[in-house]
Amino acid sequence: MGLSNRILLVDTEGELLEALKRGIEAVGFHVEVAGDGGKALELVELVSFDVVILEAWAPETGGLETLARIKQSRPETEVIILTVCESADKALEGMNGGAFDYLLKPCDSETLLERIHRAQEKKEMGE
Amino acid sequence: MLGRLLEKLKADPLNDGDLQERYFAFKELSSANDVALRDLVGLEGSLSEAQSLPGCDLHARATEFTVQAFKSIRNLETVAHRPYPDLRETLTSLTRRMEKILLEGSAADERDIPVERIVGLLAPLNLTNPGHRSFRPAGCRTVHDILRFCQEESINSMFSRNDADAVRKGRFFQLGISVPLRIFVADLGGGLEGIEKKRPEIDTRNVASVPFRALIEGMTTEGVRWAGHVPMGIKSMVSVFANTLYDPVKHERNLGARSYAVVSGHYLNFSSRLGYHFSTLDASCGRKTNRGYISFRFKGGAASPEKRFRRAEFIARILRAHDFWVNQQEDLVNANLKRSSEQDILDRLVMLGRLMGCARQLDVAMDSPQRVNHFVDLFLQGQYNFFGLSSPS
Repeated sequence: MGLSNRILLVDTEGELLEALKRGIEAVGFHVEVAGDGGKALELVELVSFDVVILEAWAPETGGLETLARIKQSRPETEVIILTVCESADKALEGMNGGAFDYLLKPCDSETLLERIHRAQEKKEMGE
Repeated sequence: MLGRLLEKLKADPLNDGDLQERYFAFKELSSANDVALRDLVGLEGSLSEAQSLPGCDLHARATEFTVQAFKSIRNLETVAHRPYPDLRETLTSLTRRMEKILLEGSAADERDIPVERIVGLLAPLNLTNPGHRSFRPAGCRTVHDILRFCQEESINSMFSRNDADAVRKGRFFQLGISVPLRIFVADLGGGLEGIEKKRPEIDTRNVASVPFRALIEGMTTEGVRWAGHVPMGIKSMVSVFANTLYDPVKHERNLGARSYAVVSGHYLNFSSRLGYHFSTLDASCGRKTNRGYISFRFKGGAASPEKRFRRAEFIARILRAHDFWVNQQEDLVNANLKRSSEQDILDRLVMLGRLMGCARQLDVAMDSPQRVNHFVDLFLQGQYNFFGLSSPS
């Protein structure tokens, strides 16, 4: 199947930082944005993304379910959680749910891009 | 027939896809370990300067540390091909205790959060001796213990087991080289060339990996001494002897233990147990972009703690002089170089090959702080034969 260089950015709070999207696109990725978990799942069904970034993720707002359904629908797609949720308990829930990584905001773009590349590397290996 | 063959290949723990997956997990684990240790040093630094931290800052750092530990366990499970339920349970339990303390603190007054209780669950390292019977999942009492256990266990799982099998099946090749190391090489693709399938030995002419060639160039530089007598006083000899007896693990590890290189055309991971110290090096370089990196770690020694510290200081100073970000804690050195051009990476790998040879037995000769200055000056002047003796062939 190979890599598609497609990233899905799921922004459930509508506070997507344009800079984040531009930063990821600047290194050659094609970024699509979903405003909520439902739309994200629709897109994941249609398109094979290399990496999904769940932004503004929180278990109590359906984040865990979104994560589980993405992994169920596309097990090969890696998911990175990018959040302000500092709870270590919640972080473990996300990681146990199959997330590739859990990054706390503010997260510098270098770290995020490095994790995207590593997630892509893992996905490529599994194919 | 074909189906059976495919099934057999899938079941073979040494098939290439499996090796790649395990190696990726090993790299991820090492990276999580490096990040966690750097965060830990930062946390301790902040606490020693300010004696306290805002509650939210402490919470975030504890969570980041926990995530690195989780990734370490998950990657260890991939490397070792087995689950570690005790480690997962311990991490969950530590996390719950941390959250409880943090929530109690923030419910009352953020300033009342007992920082030392949180740090006590994160930072202390109890698992210091891999040869001791407490060095097992049930012996982990802090998040740092979990990270340490995962690192050691992954190295054992990745490299020590199945060596004979791996060599027999042509996955690893023993490298003939003019230094007294037993180096086993695994190729992920494009790292070796001109291999005769039935011969388990290769020599340096078979190495096509650009970063590994650079490291070998440094290791085999004229004057770099990998073996031979290092002048030391009677006190040093007693110290080395006493230390060896004290630590059964050190006693078991003979000089010239195995080293492992996992390579591709532009990638190198080199893990080496030499005498009583351990070093790992992870490097990647590419022609197109400045995304090359080197991560280097060195720890241990047979001499007294002061002498091991001085050798670590020697290494740290050499690395800083070559633009590495360096963190030194006692005899542990962690160093990184990021976003560099291919030529910069290769130059530093040559230097690291020399440094690994020169530093090998240097701890026993570190009688005073002045010796550190002396050896740093010699190395930076390109004089690698520190004791004026010819290198044994």
